[in-house]
Amino acid sequence: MAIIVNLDVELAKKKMSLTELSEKVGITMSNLSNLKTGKVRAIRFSTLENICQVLQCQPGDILEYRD
Amino acid sequence: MKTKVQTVIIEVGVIVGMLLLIAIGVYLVPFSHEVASANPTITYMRIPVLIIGWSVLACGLATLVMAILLLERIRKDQIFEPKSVKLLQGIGWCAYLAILPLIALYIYTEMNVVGSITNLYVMLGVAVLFIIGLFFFMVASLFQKAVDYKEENDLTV
Repeated sequence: MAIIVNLDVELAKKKMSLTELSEKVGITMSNLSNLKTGKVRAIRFSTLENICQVLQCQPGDILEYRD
Repeated sequence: MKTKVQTVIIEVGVIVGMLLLIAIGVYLVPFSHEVASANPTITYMRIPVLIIGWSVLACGLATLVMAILLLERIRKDQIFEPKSVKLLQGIGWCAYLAILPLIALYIYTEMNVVGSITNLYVMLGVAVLFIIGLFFFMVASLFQKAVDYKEENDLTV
């Protein structure tokens, strides 16, 4: 997979649990867990915006492109 | 709720259709005897034509069984899933499959009866079944697109 989701790294940096993030962002734990493990096919701009807002980071901190 | 009531009504209709097909299948036996006794020169055609008639009815019955399964899926709100596409394709294949005995009937009648008018109806039946099959294959491909879109949507967070 070319796009890597670094949500767990960012969560560890901010010392935040997945449950806390899911409550603050307003998406279900299962969806967030799928996002973290890279099982999803797409992410909405609104979801990305909310995650960036809560984690105080840039989209590039969460998503990474690898060859 | 409205969809559920509608599907139940259609399901009842399909079951009535199935019973009707079975009744026609049973009625074909005395009917074939009647036709054979009215036309003693073609009595030998009774059994082969009866078998052809039953095979067309079997295809129709299989179609209705698949229609019931499809309606069950609609009722349970599991319509946009790969199984529904398979069922729709199955209905299409059944329509195509029913064409084979009709073509066999056409050839068999042409070989044994000169200038049969019944063959015109047989060809009309072939054309109708072909269009029905084509229609269900088209609906199946549309459903496949819907399934793909749904999957795309489900995998978007």
